[in-house]
Amino acid sequence: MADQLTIRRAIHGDEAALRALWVQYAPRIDAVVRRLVGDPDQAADVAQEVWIQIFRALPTYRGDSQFGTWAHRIAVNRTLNALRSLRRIGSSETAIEEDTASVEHDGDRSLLAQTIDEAVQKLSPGARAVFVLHDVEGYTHEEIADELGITSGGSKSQLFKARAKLRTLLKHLVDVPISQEPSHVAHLS
Amino acid sequence: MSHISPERLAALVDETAMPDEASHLAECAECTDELAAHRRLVRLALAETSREGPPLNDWAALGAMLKAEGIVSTMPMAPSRANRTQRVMRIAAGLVLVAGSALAGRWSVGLDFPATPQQAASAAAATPAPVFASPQAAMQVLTSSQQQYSDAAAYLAAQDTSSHFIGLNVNTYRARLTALDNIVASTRTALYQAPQDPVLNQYYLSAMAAREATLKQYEAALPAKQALERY
Repeated sequence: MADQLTIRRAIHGDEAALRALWVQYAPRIDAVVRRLVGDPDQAADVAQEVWIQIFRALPTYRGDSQFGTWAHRIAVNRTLNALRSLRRIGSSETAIEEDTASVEHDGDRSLLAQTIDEAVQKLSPGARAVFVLHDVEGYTHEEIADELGITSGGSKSQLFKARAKLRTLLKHLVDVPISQEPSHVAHLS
Repeated sequence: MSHISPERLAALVDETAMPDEASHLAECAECTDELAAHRRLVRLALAETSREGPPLNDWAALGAMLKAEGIVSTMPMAPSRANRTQRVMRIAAGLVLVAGSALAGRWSVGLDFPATPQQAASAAAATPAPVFASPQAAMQVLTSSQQQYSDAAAYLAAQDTSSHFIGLNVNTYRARLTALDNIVASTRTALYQAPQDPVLNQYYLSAMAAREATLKQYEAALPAKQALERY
């Protein structure tokens, strides 16, 4: 309800309303841009483009979905376009192949990531896009295929390879002996 | 059967195991542990969904870009020295103008008006008052009506052929635009203090709609080849 009034004012170029929308939604929108782009400086540039695009498109927002959902779609689309123009995911079908070849050999602890965010940054841009879109943002393989211009089978293949690599990079976070699994403990007790 | 590959284990988080894979998992603790690790990884990723971070830019930089792009309106803010009476008079004048625009538009497209106040009152009484289920429902109707009003005002402004009959000209439109700008500036200033106030929002949006409609009329009234330089 509050959003509708703010959005109407923002459409008319009211800076306070535009800023209110940005303050409310930037933490979420910029987070997905950051995950998809990786490099912080490039992510800041892309986020700026994303917000300009969102505000430029405001008059087309009809309220069919939540504003955050609508803006999020624009953010993902614009970010992928930006990455594509940087030729970072243009060859996404093959980029992961090169990356994955090293998965079996990078068990060295120095290559481990401290957080999932850090680990995701070690994926190739194409693999990162598929993983972030599917496992973090909840896109289907068909939606990812549309966004990235690949097949849904290609999306699945990349996702599974990305997970395999992340599983290695995050070994210390996901390698919990089965006896320490909460559900297992509950089952035993 | 040999151990299940890492990629296939990653797939089994989403997919059902084939019979031979299921048999293997039932017997192989190593592959079962690996599958559990993949499931934990996917849960970790899912937990990232709700994680937010600080904005990647500050508003000063983004706001400047938006101004350069023409997305932020550069209309003047309310004059700080204007006293309350002047502001009230401006708002009142603006409302007359908003209503006037609509009436002039109705006249120009040949719609009938109620002949007397009594007729208007009885026409209003004949329309049952809507019943709203909640404040949200009422607000939705208000917002939707606002949009319809804006669209209709823009349409009527484009259709209006009455200006030469009732003496409207470039100077009239310019004066109206100045008045509307004052209303917009006043309400916008007030909205900084009370951004969700529905009355202020409705005044603001009505004035903006009237302003846009007047701009079209103003542009149409300009002599040929004279471009719209201001507003």
